[in-house]
Amino acid sequence: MNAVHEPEILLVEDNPNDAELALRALQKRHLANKVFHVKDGQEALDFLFGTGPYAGRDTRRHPKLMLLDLKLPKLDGLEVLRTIKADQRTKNIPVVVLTSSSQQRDIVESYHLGVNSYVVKPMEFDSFSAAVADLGCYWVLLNQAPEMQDG
Amino acid sequence: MPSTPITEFDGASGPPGKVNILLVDDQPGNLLAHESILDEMGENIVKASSGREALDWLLREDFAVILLDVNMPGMDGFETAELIRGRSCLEKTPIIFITGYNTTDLDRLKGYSLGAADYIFLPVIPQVLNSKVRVFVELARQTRLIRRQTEILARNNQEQTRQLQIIQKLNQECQEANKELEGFCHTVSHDLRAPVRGIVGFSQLLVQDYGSKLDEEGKRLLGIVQSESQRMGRLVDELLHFSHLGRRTLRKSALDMTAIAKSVFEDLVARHAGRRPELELKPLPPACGDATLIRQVFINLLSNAIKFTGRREVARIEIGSQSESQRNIYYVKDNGAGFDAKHANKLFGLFERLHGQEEFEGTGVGLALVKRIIHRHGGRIWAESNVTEGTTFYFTLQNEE
Repeated sequence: MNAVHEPEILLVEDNPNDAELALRALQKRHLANKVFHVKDGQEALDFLFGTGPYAGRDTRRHPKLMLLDLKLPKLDGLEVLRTIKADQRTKNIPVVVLTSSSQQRDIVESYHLGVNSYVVKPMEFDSFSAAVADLGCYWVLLNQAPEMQDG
Repeated sequence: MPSTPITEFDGASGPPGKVNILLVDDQPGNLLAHESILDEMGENIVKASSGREALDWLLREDFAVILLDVNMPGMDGFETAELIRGRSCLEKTPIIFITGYNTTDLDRLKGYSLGAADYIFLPVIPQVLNSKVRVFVELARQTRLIRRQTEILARNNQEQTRQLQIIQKLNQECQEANKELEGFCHTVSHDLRAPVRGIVGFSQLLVQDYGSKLDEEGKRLLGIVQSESQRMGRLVDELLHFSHLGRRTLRKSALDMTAIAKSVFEDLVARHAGRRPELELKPLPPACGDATLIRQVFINLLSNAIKFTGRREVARIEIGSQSESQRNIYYVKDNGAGFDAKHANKLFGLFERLHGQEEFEGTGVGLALVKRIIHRHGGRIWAESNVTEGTTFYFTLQNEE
């Protein structure tokens, strides 16, 4: 799945089990082959800005959706969100925070930083699957993103 | 004259309670005569035969009044008075001049300008001397009393400030510990969600993908893993809910308690398909509280009532109230499976349950949360129950802010 370098969904998730459950949910809607999975906040930024291991990637192609966990190693989700929403090149990427945290201050801070949606991971597998699959369908298939500007 | 009992005495030369009177005269006969007149007052009399000796005494002791002979060899009374007034600590000690000759107005003015409180002429009339001195003795006594009370007040004040500081410190520590505990509770429940979701999710995938390869016993065991992990998930969620609602800032307003109770009941009945206990909802007086939290109280109490009446042929729930001057008592009564009064103390404890999981399911968080909400509103909650007749929960809320 990670072979795609022009994915439609960027999944930022450090917990491999949650990542697998999310990928399985997306698979059911035939979206799994459009997913690129990174495991920490720094890797997410490297991917989007074509730095580090992703040097040379065509960064004009943005994912249609970024599913962002908040508790991440190295650089946490809020930092990632702050960085990409503050940068002209990446601020239009729709970001959905998908996290275990239902703490008000995380929710408030995420919206303050410009998150497009905030979803608390449901505990039940069926609800979790449905939530992830619905998010994928909505943002990848239904939502109309602005045209990419070259340069 | 009534004398105020004084237990503290700051003069070294007399017993406690007495004040000092200083007699200054170069003639021993006069000193003796004046002493004998004043003796009946029972105060402490100190005699000095010169201005110099008088000053020595004055620097060592506090005096209520000084009887000062004007006409003394060497340093006379006026000079002595001038020296006395020169000392800041002595500038308020009253001086009565005693003079033998016909004092001219000029001398008298000089005495007053030196701070004389009064004049007495020789030969001294005992009643006059006595009554003039008595005024100053009483004044000294009152001054001493006021000083003493001021000191006590200051000490009390200091003690109160110290105790207040201790209370504030303890209070702060308590708040910090509470905050830490709540943070811990939140973190634990929060961090537990991820592994629980893993167990729930992957056991479901196991059923989906490999269920056909398992025999009946394998499926049964896996079923237990699933239902237990789901139960753990609910526990963690409720704990998180508990910590959330417990920390929420109260937003109080006037609440239509009848409407809240009714809408909660309808919501809950809609979720229990096919079960509709008989409800008797008496009109409830409005209360002052946080709408979300008080709604939660009704959700928990009514879902309990619905749950525990599940095995009755006719399930009945009654909601009513009693009004008192400041507060209302609300009750939710059911005819369900009650509990033995001896377990009542466990009823509101976190994770405490009075029924087995197979009898009635539950996590033991609901009533702990209800108690916490009511306590945060400054109210009380209690229950009455017996095994045959069912349970009544009572809680109190203020009827206005």
